[in-house]
Amino acid sequence: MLFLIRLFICVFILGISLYSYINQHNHLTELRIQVPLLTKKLKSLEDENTRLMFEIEKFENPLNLMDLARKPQYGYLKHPYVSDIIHLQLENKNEDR
Amino acid sequence: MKPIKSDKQRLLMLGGFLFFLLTMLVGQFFRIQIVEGERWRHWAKEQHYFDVVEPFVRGTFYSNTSIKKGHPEISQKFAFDIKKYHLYIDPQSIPEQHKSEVAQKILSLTKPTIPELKKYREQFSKKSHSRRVVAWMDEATRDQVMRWWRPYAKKNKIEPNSVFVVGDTLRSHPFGKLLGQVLHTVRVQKDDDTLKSHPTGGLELAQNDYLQGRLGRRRLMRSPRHSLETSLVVEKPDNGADVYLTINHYLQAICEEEIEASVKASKARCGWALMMDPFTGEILALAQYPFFYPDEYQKYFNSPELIEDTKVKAITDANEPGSIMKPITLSIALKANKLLKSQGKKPIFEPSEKIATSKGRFPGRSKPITDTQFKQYCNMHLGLQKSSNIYMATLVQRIVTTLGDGWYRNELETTFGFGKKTGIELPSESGGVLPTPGKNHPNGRPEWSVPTPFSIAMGHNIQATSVQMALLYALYANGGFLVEPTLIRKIVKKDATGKDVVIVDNTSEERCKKFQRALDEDIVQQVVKAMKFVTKPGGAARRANIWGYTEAGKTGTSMKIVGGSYSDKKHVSTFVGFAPVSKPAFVLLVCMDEPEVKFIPGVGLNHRGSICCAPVFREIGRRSLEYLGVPPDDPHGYPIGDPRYDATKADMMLEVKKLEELDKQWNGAH
Repeated sequence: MLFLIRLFICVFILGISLYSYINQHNHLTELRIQVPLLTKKLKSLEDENTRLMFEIEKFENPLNLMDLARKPQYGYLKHPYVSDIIHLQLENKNEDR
Repeated sequence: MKPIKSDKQRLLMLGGFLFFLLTMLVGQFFRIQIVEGERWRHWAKEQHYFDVVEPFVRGTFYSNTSIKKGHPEISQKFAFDIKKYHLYIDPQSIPEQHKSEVAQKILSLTKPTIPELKKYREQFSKKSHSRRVVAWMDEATRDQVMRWWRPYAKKNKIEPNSVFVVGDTLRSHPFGKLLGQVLHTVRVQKDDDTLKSHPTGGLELAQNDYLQGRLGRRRLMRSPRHSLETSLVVEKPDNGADVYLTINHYLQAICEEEIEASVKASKARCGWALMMDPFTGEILALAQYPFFYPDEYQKYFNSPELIEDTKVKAITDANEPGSIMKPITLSIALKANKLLKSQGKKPIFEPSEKIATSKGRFPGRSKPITDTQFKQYCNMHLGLQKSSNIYMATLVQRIVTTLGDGWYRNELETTFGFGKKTGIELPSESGGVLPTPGKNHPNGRPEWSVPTPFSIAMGHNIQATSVQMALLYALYANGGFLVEPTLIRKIVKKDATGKDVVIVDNTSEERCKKFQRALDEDIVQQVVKAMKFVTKPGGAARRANIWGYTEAGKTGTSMKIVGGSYSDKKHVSTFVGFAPVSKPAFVLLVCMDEPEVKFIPGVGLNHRGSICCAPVFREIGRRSLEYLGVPPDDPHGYPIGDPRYDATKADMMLEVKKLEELDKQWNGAH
C-alpha cells in the first residue's frame, strides 16, 4: 500500500512537473511568436515618431518662427541678453544624501 | 502440431531479412544524420528559411544649437531619412474588367504627383508583374489603400498580391531650402544591390563615407500562405553616422532672408553671406540666393541655368577681392616696418605720415591708378576710410623698393594663404589665384610683372574665394591667428551596444591651439582701428554701421573678367567685417554677384559694395547679435536724431571728428 502511495506521489509530482514544463514551453512559444509582432509594432512606432518629428521640425522652421515673431501678438517677445540670464546651479541630490 | 523444419527456416530467414533491413535503416540514418548531417541540415534550412535585407538608416545632419550662450536649444535636424512606401501593381494578375475600378479607387485614395499621373493609367496595361504607380506614400495612405484592397481582392477573387507596397526611406528636409546648397541631397534611385544612396553634391557627397551604413540580414520562415517572422537578425544593419554641423539654423535663416531681399533689391544675379566664428573657424551660416531646393534636385540638374544655383559660390568661385584687400596691404606694410626696424633700418612709412595721393603713376603701368574720391594727401586712417587705391599702391611700391617683390609675394602666400585651398569640408573648393613669376595667363601675358604688386595692393590681379577672405578677416577679429574653416563640429556613430562614439571631433581645445599666429597683436590693433573708421561718418561704408554695437570692416567692388578683359557692366561687390570689435561674435562677409549698374538718386551707385552689401551686413549683424543675446557695446552709437545718440560718448566719434578736420586741412572742404 505504502509503495502504491509513494508511486502515486511520484507520478503526481512528475505529472505536475511535466505539466508546468509544457505550460512554460507554451508560454515561451507564445512570447516567441509575439516578439516579431512587437518588433514590427516598435519599428512602426519609431517610423511614426520620425514622421511626427519631421512635422514638428517643419513647423519649427526658423523662417516660420520669424514670421510668427513679427506678428503684433508676439511683439512683446525678445531674445534676452546673455548678461540678463541668471544661471542657477542645481544641487546634486545624490551628494546631499 | 509441431512446426515443420522448413517453417522454422523461413521464419529465421524472415527474421534475418528484417534484421538486415533494420541494419540498413540504421546505417542509412547514420549516413544521413551523422556523416552527411551538416549538408542536409543546410539544405533543409535553405528550404525552410530565407533571408531578407534589413535596411540601414543614413546619417542625420544636425544644426549647431550650442551657439546661444545661456540658452541652449534642443537638437534640430537639417536632413534625415523618413520611412515611405511605393505602391506597385501586377497588371497581369488584375482581370481586365476590374482594372478601371482599381485604377480609379487607388487614384482617389492616393495623391500621385503630376509626372506619375501622366503615366498612371498606362501602367495598368503593361505586360509586367511589377509596375510602380504611386511613389513616396506615407503610412496612413498605405494603410488606407490596403484596407480597401484586401476585401476587394477577396470579393472579386483577384490574387491578393496584385497590389502591393514596398518600403523605402526618403531623404527629408524639414526646413526645406534652408542650407540647400551646402547640404544637397541624395538621388531618389538607390543602388540595387547595396541600397546605398547616390549623393548629388555638397556635404551629402563630401561626408558620404560617414553617412552611409551597411545592410543587415533578417531570417524568415517559408510558409505556403505567408512568411513567418522568426525575429532572428542574422546580421545587424550598420546605420550611418550623424553629422553635427557648425551651422546654426536660426542664423542661417536670418542670412537667407536678408540675402534674398538684397539680391532682389539690387537686381543681382546671385548673392551670398558667410558668417564665421573668428576664434574657431566654425562656419555659423552660409546662405546663398537664388536658393536650391534639395527635394526638387531633378529640376535643377536638368536645367543648364538652374544648375549654377546648386554650387556653393563662396567656396567654388574665386573673384578679385577689390578693396577688401586693403587691410591686408596695410598689414604687410606694417609688418615690413617691423622687419626693417628690427634690422636697424628706416621703416617704409609711419601710419600718421602725410602721403601724396594725387598722382597715380606707377612703374610698368600704362594707365595711372585712380581713386573714387580724389585726395591730395592721406595718412593710414584716411587711406583706408576713403579706400584710396593710390595710397595702398604707394605703400606697396615702398615695400618692393626696400624688400623686393619676392618678399611681398611670399607674405601673400605664406602668411595670408592666397592661392591655397582652405580645406573646408565641401567638394569643388577653389584655391584662388596668386600670380606666379614665370607663369603666363591663358591670353599669353605674364602672371607676374613689374606693375603686379601695385594692382594686388588694391585687390586686382589676384583672386580669392569668399571663405578665404572671411578667414583673413577672422585674423583681425581674433588678434592675429589664421584659423581653419570647418562646417563640422563632430561626427557621431552608435556602436553595437547603442553607445555614441565620436569619430570626428572639431570641438576640442587642441584644434584651436594648433592655429598659427600670422600677425603680431600691435599690427592687428592698428589695422582694426583703421577699419573702424570705414563704417563711421566720412567712411566708404557708413551703411554697415550696426547701431548700438562696434564694428570694423571694409567694402569692395571689383569688375569681373569677361572674355579676358574687365567688364564695366559686371561687378562683384563685397562687404566683410566683424562685430562687436572688443569680443567679436562673428565675421560676416556679404557678396553680390553682378548687381545692376545704376545710380540711385540720394544714395549712390547701386553696384558698389557700400550700397548693395553694407546694409545687408548691418541687418544680418543686428538680428544675429540680438539672437545671440550679445548686449550692445556702443550704447550711444546711434544715428543723429536718435535719443540714444551722444557724440561725446559714441565709439570712435571723437577720432572721426579729428580725422575729418585733418582731411579738411589736407584736402580742403568737400
